[in-house]
Amino acid sequence: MIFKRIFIYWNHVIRYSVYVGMVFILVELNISSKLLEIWRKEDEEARRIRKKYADWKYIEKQPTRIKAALLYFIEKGDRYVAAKIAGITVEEFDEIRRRANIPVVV
Amino acid sequence: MIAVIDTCFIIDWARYRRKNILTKLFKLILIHEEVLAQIRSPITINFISNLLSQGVVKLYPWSSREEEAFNRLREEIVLDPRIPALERPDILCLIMAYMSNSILLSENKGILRVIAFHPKYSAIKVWTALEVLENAVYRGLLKINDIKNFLQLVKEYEEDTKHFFNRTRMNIIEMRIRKWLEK
Repeated sequence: MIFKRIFIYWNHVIRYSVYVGMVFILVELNISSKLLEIWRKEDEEARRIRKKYADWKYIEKQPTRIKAALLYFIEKGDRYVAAKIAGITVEEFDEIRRRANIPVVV
Repeated sequence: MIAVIDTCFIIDWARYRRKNILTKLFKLILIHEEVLAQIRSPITINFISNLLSQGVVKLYPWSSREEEAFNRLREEIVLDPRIPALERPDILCLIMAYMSNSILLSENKGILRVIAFHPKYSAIKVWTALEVLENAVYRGLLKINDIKNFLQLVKEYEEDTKHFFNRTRMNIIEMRIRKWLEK
């Protein structure tokens, strides 16, 4: 009898733990999708600003690697990866970014 | 207050006409040697070496315990599609700020995103130049009479560094400054 009760009690514990876990996962997913939506909008706004201010004539005149890096930066706004594409340091890339009049938007 | 400084923040801030307020705002600024190694331009090198000689900036003594924390965090975020690429020095700064309970000075979007959701590292305060300007105003290091003065300060920073702040964050800080001015 006692074993049966323990078994039933244990079943309840497992079942409710699963429910609580599912609620947590749903809340987490909801927060996560809201955050992603906010970030998507932020990225879009930043991209628009970078495109608007960029000196396209200057960008066009650059050697292939630098041009590719500047175009990547306009799209993504990531100075580190852009510097890697250009094969230079972050600060060296930042100097070129400033000459190309592309703002950092954070 | 103690701060940890990362590469993106330094290379922008060194070009700002009022860059010296940083030394009045923080009694100590920690820097990692890998961040220092990324600095190349004379303007930034001069700025940081001056701060090092004044004793305001100090090299952070990195330990094996922190290296383990770095490896753990790197593994957590490297495959997370929500996080833009983060370089080793950025993550090191995040760990340093956590370990030393300091404010992280960063302009890195990836860092701002990590602290937005990470259960452990969301406790870290990250300030971009915008929050530095805001706090410099609160501490009387930058005098303003109205919101226009503050927006002018932000505009100066944007002109000097070619660095703009996103509208949402600007609105939040503008609101906080307005409330502060009303007091």
